[in-house]
Amino acid sequence: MNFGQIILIGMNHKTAPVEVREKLAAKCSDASIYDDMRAFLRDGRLSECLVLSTCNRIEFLLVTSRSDEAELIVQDLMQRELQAENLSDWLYRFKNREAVSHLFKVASGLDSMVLGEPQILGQLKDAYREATMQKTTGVILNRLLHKAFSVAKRVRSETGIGCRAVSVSYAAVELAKRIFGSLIDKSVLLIGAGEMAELAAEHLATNGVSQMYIANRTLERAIELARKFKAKTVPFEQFVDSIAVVDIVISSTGATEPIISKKVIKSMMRRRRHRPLFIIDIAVPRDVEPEVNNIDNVYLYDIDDLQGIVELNKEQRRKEAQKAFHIVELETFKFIEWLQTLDVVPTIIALRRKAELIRQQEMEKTFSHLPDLTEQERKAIGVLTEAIIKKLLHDPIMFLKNKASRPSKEFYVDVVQQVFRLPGHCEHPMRCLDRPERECYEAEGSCEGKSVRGPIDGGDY
Amino acid sequence: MESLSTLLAVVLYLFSAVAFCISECRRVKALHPTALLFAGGGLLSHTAALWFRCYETPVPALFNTRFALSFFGFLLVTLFLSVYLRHKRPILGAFVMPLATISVAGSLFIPSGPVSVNPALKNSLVIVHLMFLFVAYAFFALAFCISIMYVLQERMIKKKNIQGWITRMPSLETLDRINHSCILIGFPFMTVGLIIGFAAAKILWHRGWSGDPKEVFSILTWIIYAVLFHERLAVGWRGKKASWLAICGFASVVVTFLGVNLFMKGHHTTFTGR
Repeated sequence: MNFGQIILIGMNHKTAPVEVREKLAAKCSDASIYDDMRAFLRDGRLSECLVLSTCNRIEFLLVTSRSDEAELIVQDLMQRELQAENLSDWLYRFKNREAVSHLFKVASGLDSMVLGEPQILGQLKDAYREATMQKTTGVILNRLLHKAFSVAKRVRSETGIGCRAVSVSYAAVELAKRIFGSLIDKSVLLIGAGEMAELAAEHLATNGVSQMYIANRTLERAIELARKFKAKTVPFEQFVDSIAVVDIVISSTGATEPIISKKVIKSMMRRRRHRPLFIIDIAVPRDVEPEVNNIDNVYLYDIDDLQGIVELNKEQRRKEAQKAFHIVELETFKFIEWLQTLDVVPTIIALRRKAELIRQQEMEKTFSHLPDLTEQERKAIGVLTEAIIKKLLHDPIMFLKNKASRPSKEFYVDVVQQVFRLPGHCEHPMRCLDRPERECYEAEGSCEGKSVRGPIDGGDY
Repeated sequence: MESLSTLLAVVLYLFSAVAFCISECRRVKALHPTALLFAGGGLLSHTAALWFRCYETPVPALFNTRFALSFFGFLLVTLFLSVYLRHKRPILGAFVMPLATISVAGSLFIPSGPVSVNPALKNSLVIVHLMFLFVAYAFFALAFCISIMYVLQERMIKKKNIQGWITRMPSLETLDRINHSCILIGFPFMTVGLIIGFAAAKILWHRGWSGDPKEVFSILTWIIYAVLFHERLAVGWRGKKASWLAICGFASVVVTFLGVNLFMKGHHTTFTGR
């Protein structure tokens, strides 16, 4: 297996115009993109890859030992679709630490247009599922993606980034929940059936509202909506009567004068036995007299109020995002540390392999001298010898793992290789990973021809 | 032993109250189990304290203001924990636990005084009278806390300024429902308790009404809750008005219970060990 650097190339809503993203998304969300990628995987230019394509971003996540070529590959692919000259202006490229951190941010919704939105995590999971089905991921991407999912989860649970509504219609739903608790068995009256009202109604419906009434001037539109939400239609002139039975009113007519007055609501409240009434007035100019809000158990929110809440929540999210960035940085650091341990993995494997070889040889020798041993005794000896080498190797292996994140690790790897006379060659799989400053005593290049490459068991380290 | 375990209970309640407040104000979810544990531990210790008290003291001397306050706190915490089990809203604790802590801690500061054993307290009717009233008061106290939460949250929603710890409260409807149940259970207890009280007075002194301050205030309290009870059931009062009335009702309870016991004279004071 050939390790390399983690490269992330892509564009998002901040860097590229929507026409460009649309064109690419059409291509990249198709499984056929992996047919192209597989060619590069086969000829060794890439070792792992994953393509994430949503309406706001297209990103290629690659693991390769030849990073410059990888960049060209992706640009070529995109160029084929776009034939644009300034393609590279729209792209961002991240390597290793930055790539990891960027992916974590994307997964947590910190890079999204709506800060902290949760859909991106689902999209990333889908992209990963596709990539695993296409068998284009390996040790590093598997680990990286799983880590990204857990980082997103951590961000969600430890910060309040996702817990407040940042769209008007969702803010209305949250308010309704604040007033009524559960929305199951609550009913809604739509007065006017505009797009905004429909959106709010949709949110309410998904939150379990049981019955909906629609009053609209044009009956066709009312019937259309009624079919969509399994609602009842009410003659527009008589919508006032339905206020007595519903819990939530969404008003969005084009009337120039308020159509719901304080007097009407006041008399309705007596008929309702003072059950709380939540009125959402999303019409401009307003449909409901603002004084209605002064009546007990009536809560009136107009579009400005809802917008105000949304702004407040957005501000809150930005504050929470600071905490989230901190978590992302921490987790990136941990991941890079793990990546660096991959450097010592070949040596550890070589060490184990050598010990196992010696054990096998010695056992064979011993068994040939002692032919009378029973199967049980042979097994016992096998277990015994296994335990001895395991315990003996434990310390050197831990030593190597501990040194893995140090700049001087190559020195230690070299020492271990010389002490145990391990066979191998120089190519450290993760050699190019960006590292802190080298310490002066480190014997740069001393491991020429001594390191070993072997199969890596990702789960083991 | 009794005052020691009461003290322990107070300390645990205090910790629990502080933990609930911190966890709600600072959004530290991890503190919830600790806070609950403290409340539970406090309740155990408190149970032990009450048991010691009943075990050591002859029944007639049992009922003084000190014991009454402590018992009231005990019922309140029990009630809170049972409501918590149903609604799982730790913010209730931030309101109820401080009140419980204050009442139990207050019981420690009230001097027990020389125990003047009033023969009336041998009458089991009097004890039933007291028990019923304590239960009613505990429910009213919970209704009081819930009402405060309701009023605060309602004001926030009306003012369209919803942020901070208020957002972790149960919804208005839930609060109102709990409030409703508290009054619905508490009021009959109070009514029965008062009737038994007057019956006992009739038997002991051959006159039901003697016009002592405690009786007057009790009737006043009863009227407040009677209005609330009636309006809630018959007219469908709810929300802010009902909450304010529940708050007034509890204020009246505090006056009846403490004010009269500690600052006014009457035949009830002889029971309270002053």
